[in-house]
Amino acid sequence: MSQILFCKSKVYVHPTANKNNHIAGFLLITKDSQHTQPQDAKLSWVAERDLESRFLNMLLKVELELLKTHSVRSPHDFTIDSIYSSWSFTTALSAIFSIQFKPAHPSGYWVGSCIINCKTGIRDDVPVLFFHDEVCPSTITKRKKMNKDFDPFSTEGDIYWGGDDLKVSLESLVDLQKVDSSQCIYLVNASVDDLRTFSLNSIKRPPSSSSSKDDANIWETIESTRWSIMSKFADATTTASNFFGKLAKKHPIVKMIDKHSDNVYVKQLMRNPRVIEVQDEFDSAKIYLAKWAMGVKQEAERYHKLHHLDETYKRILKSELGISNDVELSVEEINTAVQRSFPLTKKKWASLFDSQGRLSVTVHEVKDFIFHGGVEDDELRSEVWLFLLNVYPWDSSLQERKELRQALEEDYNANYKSKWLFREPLNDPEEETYWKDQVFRISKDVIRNDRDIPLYKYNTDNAEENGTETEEVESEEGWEIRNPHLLALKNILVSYNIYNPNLGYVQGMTDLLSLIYFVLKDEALAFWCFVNFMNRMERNFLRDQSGIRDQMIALVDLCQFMLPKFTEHLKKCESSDLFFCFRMLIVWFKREFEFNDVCRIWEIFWTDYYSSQFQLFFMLAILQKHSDVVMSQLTEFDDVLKYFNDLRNSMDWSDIMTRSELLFIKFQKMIEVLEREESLIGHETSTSGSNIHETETTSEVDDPPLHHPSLISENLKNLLSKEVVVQKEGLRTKDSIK
Amino acid sequence: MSRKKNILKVIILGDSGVGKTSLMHRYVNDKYSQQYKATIGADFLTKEVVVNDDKVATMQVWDTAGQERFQSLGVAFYRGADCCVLVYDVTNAKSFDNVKSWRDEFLVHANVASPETFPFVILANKVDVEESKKVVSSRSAQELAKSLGNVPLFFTSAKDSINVQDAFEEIARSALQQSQSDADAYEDDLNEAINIQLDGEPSSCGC
Repeated sequence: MSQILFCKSKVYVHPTANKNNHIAGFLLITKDSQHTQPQDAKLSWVAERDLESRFLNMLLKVELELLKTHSVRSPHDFTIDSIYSSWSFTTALSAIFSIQFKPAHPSGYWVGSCIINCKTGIRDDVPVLFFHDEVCPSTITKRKKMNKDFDPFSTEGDIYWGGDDLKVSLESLVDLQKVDSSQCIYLVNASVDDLRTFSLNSIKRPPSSSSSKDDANIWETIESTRWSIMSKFADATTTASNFFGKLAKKHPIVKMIDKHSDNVYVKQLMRNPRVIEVQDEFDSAKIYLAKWAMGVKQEAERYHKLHHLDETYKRILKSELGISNDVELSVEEINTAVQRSFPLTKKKWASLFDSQGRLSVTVHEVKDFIFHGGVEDDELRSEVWLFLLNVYPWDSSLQERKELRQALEEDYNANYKSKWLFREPLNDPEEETYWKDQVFRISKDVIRNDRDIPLYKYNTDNAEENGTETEEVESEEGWEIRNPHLLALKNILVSYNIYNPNLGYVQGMTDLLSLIYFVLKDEALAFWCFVNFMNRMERNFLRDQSGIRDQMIALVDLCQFMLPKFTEHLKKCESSDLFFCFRMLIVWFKREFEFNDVCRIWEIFWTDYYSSQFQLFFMLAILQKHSDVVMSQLTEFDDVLKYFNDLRNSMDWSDIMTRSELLFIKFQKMIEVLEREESLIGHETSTSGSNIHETETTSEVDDPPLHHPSLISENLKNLLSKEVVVQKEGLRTKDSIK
Repeated sequence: MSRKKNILKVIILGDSGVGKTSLMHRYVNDKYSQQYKATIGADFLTKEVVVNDDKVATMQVWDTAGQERFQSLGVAFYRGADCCVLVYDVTNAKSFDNVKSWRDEFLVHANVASPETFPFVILANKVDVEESKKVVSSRSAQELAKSLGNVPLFFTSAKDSINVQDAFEEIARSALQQSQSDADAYEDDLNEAINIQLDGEPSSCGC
């Protein structure tokens, strides 16, 4: 059963500028069945003249019906696929790369239009579509209604036109990302790479060839901005897998401009109002050119303001982290790290799965999104985290996940929760005391955990404030837990004690669980997420502290390697063991940042995008960020500790994350350089047999090598691995430390 | 080890949940909250104190995690301590039983010059709770304090601010005394070293 989700009449194709040749048609979005994935819906345009009159009338009716409802069933014998004419087209939404909207001119100089660009190799003959609003029934009806409801104090000043309806309809089906550099271009279900390519940050200003003679006014700036955007579009054909640039390049004016973009004369010509007018006549080109020429002064100013701000930040990063030890960070690397503006949205997430609910892109692509943009909100997070924490396999189908979810819930209740809920006291009194002590510790930490978060705030049966309760909470003794969410935390931690009896409960584990439960809000699922999270975090809580100590030692090595001056200073402060990082590392910065920020930090760590121990680079970035202040101000162990302890709730997590990424990239490069040098030296010694003399002289004349081989300790090399480090607690005995 | 002038370093030890953080905050900021999370790692707060009406010093109160396994990391903070505060919860018998082991643990790691005279203070916290919930009697507390070498004992409530100021005044006094005797001992050591050298001089000259 086919459904029509969008229908707009009087959408024209203009094969030539001559009005007599314009062809009226319908723009439609249709879906085969209820179960079709949103991105598999189809966008079609069909000429009025190709339609049977009954279908024409049907569509005119549907158009108006859709003003009141979301979808209308189409007659079963209505198919667009069978209509062949030179201009009609049908494309799946998933095949669309971008859509460019050009709103109608407020005074009617031109009608609104849109350009649809398909992905490479799919089709390149989609015509520019013009919305003749003044003759379109649905647009007229809607506009009348809007004018009636017009609120003069509304902040939304945009003028409604037919293309808006298309945009709204598309937005309900796919992820539309507005490309910063131009106000009207939207990428459809774009990949991270495409977003990067088209984002403002990556657009460089071309060198201005000769602005001295010209009036170096604001227009010059706008001009170069335009050119840079233009050249970026042209670049796109070669740099990104899309059709975007091809369209731009194909156009004769664009071709001309492209060829002569450095030419001052061309620039001036482009500024001439007459030329602009001529270009307006030329339908397709005006999509690009009219917009540029019609005074986007404000836009350009804003663009530059933003651009300059960004540039300043980038300059700071470059000067602080950029060049040293023969290693340099490239502009692209800095851009990629700075730019965290494309979060994983619900629609984006949905678009990554096929009709079976199986992931249809690589895991790496998903992780790239998460690493560089994070997850949009907690609702989506509750699903994404199940994948990130390996509760759901990445290659599972929707059905498999449904079954798995049920099985996990049963497993949790039957094999863990009920094991202690209905337990008989043990015969061994020592074991019995141990058990009671564990439950007591858990309760004590749960009741004082994150009570500033609304979910955990009120210790009442419904987790809400009620008149007398505040006082009761204050005077509460004996650690009785009533808030159902706090109770769930306790249940999970006690169940984990059954799951991992060797480790038991260790302080800090409540912090780790608290966030997971907050996002999942489902006891059984949160339990399994916690179990998997603990798989990598267990090393932080071992009785002999060996796991956390290993990380501190690796961090000391890393700090020595990356921040040698700072390390020297810390030695003078008796702080070279970096003990002041302990709290941050053990619970992954949970105590240093706001609740929501910690969610963002953790999901990035979980991707293992660069390293499974990215937390150490995040820690390194915090040290780097504060190294200057510490070096100039602090000289004592206790002052250093206090300084870092007091950083809580004062750091910008996103800045630190950007620095972490750059530090990692730099680290990786430094290791590469050193390894190359090392292998060269190794090579020299091994082949020195034939020309001993030469080797000896050179080695004596040469400067001593830049490094000691020991610089690249195993600790450091291991930091390049994406393999999660797992350290398990040994068997617990009666004498084991608590 | 370089030590700043007039800093009195005080370490608070005791089982988790007995109220170490609350006591510290009550004393330093005169504030109380039910919502202090379990302490991870270590932290300290400072407060200017006037001892015996004339001596001004800065007291550094160190708060540490209560769980046993984290103690091996606490060692770094013990060094240079001038007084150790042992806290238990009057509603928790186990926390009382552990007071002695907290003291022993401290002496093992702190590397103090003379363990016999090093000052401890015991705080029996949460005395605001209703009598029925108290499981540690005052008498057994006094006996313990006596057995550990007449350690001063205070019955406190961080929540209702009972005895906290008094207790910390005592803590400050003991700490100052300890700090001065340490300084004296250091001077003695120094003098002794000089004397030895002087004594040895003729023999080195004789050869």
